[in-house]
Amino acid sequence: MKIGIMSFAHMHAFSYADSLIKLPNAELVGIFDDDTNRGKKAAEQYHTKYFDDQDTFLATEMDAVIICSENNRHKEMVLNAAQAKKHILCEKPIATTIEDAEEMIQVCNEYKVILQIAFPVRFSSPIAQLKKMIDNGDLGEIVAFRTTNRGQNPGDWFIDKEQSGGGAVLDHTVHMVDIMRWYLGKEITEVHGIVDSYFHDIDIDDAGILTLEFENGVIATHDASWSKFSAYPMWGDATIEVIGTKQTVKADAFKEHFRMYASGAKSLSHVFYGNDMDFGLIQDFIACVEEGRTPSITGYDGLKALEAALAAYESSKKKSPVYL
Amino acid sequence: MRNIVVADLNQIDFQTSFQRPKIIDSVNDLTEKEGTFLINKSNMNEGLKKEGNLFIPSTLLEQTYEGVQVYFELEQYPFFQKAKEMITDPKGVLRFRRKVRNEKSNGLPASDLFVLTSILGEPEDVQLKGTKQEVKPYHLIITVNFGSGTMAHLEYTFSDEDERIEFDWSGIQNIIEFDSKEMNPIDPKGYRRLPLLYSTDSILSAAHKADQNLIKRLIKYCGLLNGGVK
Repeated sequence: MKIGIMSFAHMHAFSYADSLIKLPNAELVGIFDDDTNRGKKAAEQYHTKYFDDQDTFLATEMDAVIICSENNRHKEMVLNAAQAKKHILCEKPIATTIEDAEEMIQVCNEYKVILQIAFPVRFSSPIAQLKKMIDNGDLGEIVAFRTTNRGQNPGDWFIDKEQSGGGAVLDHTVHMVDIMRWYLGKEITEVHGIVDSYFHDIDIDDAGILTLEFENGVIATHDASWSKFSAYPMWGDATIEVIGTKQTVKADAFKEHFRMYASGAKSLSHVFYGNDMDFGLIQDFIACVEEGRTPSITGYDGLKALEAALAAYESSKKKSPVYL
Repeated sequence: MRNIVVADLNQIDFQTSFQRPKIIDSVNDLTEKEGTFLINKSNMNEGLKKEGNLFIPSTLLEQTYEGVQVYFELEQYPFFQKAKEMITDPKGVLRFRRKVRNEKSNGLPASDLFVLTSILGEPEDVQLKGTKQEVKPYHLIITVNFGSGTMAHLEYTFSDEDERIEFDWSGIQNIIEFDSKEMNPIDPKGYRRLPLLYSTDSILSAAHKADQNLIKRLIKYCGLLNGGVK
């Protein structure tokens, strides 16, 4: 299977490229990036060909592309890749507006190419295990969720509203909203959000709390932020607690770690040794393309997660809940 | 003068207390004129008011108890006292979570909100969301906007499970994480209810006089939590 990567603007591109290299049935055939330095460097690192022209790249023989550009360029790249009949794995969030996301889904349908959204948290072993427990009925009926996705400020284009479409709330809401929808199989009908910026001296949000209600009455909280600083023992977190009528169970995607103490500015580090969820995502995408099946995480899943994040901004602005 | 402390005796830490309170079942057991006496909250009655300095938990406070000493459970926990000292800049996100036994439900969220305002300031907006009352466990989400960059989720699960408190503060260059389940110094757990115990020393020193001001504030928070009024 021949795969290309479009843009290394998002740091996940490195992890996805590392994953491709590990797969015996996949080959990284080229990298397109209109940042020449970045693209050339990545191509050298992964011993593949660099393209500075998108059309030439898309004309190359390959089955699928992985798009890791700035958020506001997802649409352009997805549309071009779809028209070139390449299957697509698109970094989250799917887009910066609902209209763009809808157009991307529609064009991919039209050209009959797969559009999968990169929500790797679904491939975290504890998160997947909890999904199985829910499906087995071990928790009874779900009544509520508590979720977090907090990390460090990534800087660069992430803090430029034009390119990112939003700050921490957009960046760190979509993963856990996707997990809640996946666990429950229901849609969100109400979003209340408080969005603010104060952890960093930046012109974009870096903190937010969301209160959600699903169509079946299940309620949830979500804490999305870039509140972790460099001295914190680990990058951040992705947790979900499911309150069920039989029991309450929490899954923490980064819990599997040991503590390492060292002298220096960062005296304690949590060294993660759990499963590589990015590898799980890439493996699933490749299998999906090979088998020609519906992706496990569709463009629609991406759209619904985006919708909740954007509603949080609207709610915070209006100071009242937003109904979807 | 006697001190009469009404408490859930299961939550009293007798080991670290300077006071050596005597446990009584009723007023009839008050034979000494001095000392500190503990009485289980199930035995509380108005008659205790005239028998000495009465200390009652905030969740049992009613207008008729004006003038007694009232204490807030959250304020008694040693972890909370320490965390309060550490939060010098109240700008950040608080995630506060309690798993509470069903019988403790009355007035507890309002009492906690009262205590948290001492760190985070007066709420600008309070929103409530609860699960269906008829489905167990009942889960309650309180979203509080304290304004000026301070926001909180206070969450309560009422069930018959063991109590648990999680206190998670993300401030600027300052993060506090506490989970009572992880912080029990006795392993295997269950021998002691630490860290969710508090002492009579703490109650006596941190109690507030139940004057009209305090009663009105508690009534206000109860009102906010009964409808999420702005």
